[in-house]
Amino acid sequence: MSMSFEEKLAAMGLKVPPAELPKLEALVAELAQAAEVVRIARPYLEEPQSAFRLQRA
Amino acid sequence: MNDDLHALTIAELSRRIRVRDLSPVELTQACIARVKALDGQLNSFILLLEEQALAEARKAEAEIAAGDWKGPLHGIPIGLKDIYNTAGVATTGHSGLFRDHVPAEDATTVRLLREAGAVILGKTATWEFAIGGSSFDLPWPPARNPWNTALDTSGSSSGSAAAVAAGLVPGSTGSDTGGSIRGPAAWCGIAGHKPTYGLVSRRGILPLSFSLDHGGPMCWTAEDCALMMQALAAHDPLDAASADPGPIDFAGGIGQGIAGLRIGVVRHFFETDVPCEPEVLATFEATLRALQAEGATVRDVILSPFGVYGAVGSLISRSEAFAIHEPHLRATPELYGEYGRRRLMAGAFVRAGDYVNAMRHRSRLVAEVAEAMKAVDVLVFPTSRQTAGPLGEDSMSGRLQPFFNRAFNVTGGPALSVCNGFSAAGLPIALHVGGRPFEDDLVLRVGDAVERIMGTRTRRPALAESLQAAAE
Repeated sequence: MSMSFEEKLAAMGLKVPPAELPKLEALVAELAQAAEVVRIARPYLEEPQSAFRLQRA
Repeated sequence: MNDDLHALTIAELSRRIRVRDLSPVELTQACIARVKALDGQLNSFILLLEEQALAEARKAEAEIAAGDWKGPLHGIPIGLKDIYNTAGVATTGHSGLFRDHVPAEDATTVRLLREAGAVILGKTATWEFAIGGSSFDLPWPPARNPWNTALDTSGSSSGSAAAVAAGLVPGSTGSDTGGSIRGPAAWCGIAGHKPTYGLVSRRGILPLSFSLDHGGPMCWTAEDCALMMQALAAHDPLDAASADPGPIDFAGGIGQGIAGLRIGVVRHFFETDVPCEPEVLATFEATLRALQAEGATVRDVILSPFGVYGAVGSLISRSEAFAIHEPHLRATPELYGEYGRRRLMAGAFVRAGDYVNAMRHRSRLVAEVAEAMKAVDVLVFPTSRQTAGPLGEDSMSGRLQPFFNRAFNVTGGPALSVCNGFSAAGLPIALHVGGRPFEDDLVLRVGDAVERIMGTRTRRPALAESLQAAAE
């Protein structure tokens, strides 16, 4: 059974007044749309800027 | 303020102070009197540091009299957005959560301002923790727009923008994670500079987003922003993001005009991605024509759609902000205002993979802008798609957000908003100038040219003037 939005919040230890839930849920939906923009295929070696590199001291 | 001091810029005030035609004490007293007379209508200051400011002004006056003039900020009153830590003085973030937060030491930037001889006049209003919104459920009321007090200043550096626009203080500090210097600068008709990432220390500024936060100046003119940058920009070994690019003469291009410069226009941002209001568009086109008449060349530039920059910026900033605020959001959510609580809590729902993808995509966008800027010297577009909106509405909700600022938070390049005209209703309209990393001096030079060519710096908010007349 899927969790309600309020239950998901509670599972993360978070709580807001009930009246604020719809606007928070709408904002979360906007972020989910934003996430779709960056879910694209990328070559593994494309992002050297993101790689963890150590330099000799 | 006496002798219309409130209408003078930092550059003008400094020239008079240097030749001892103006006393820092007299100037500070005039600022304090103007805040007391007018700020009940504007709510731009959370805390006025009257005695401390006067003591600092007397010290500056004595130093200058002794021949020890420290530079253009010496004896100049400055406001601090109330997320800049001040030793022994509350730094609240405009939040009930930090109502009693008294830092032990100054932010690096505050220390640098003091070393430059600036007089710290007080702490200015902000959206809660630089993210909340123009809220009425916080311990202090939201700042109001001096051009029309029924209107929003935007934010998050709301009080700094209102105070400078109303002539309560000649310069102030702001912070900019998604446009929080440039947005309120645009709606309040002042100049706001988001420096290159790493150029201004973040140490001691209440954090919101580790990789997107920028401190910077907010003043009446681009020239004054340049003068503040001369003090604010310094390598800080205690800030892991601090850059050390070598000396930059921020004011070196002021008054040099724009002849020969190549200006790129990101036209799809404001024509098709998020269309501008007609008055804003007309003012933008008039500005382009004026810049061309002064010898600049103009060409269109294509970048990723604005929504991609917005998406990347939102995912990163919300994730990082939640990471910072999570303990407080769990323990005492009731101490936040509704806007702040909602915007910060939303970050809990960003998946780890999406944050990583946003960071990876950010690298692409940085490379995209760098490539585009091989053919142009600066990129321009309207700062805001509209003039100031009503106070009390959540201006940052929904998909048609008013500002185009975020592109330069994501890439980290220098960016400036300057007033380039006024609407039929008399509200400020603004131009956004973005540049290559560490070419802040060029961005400021272009902004200064726009202000001079468009003649926008002689017009102050009429309301502030009428309030002034009533106070006298």
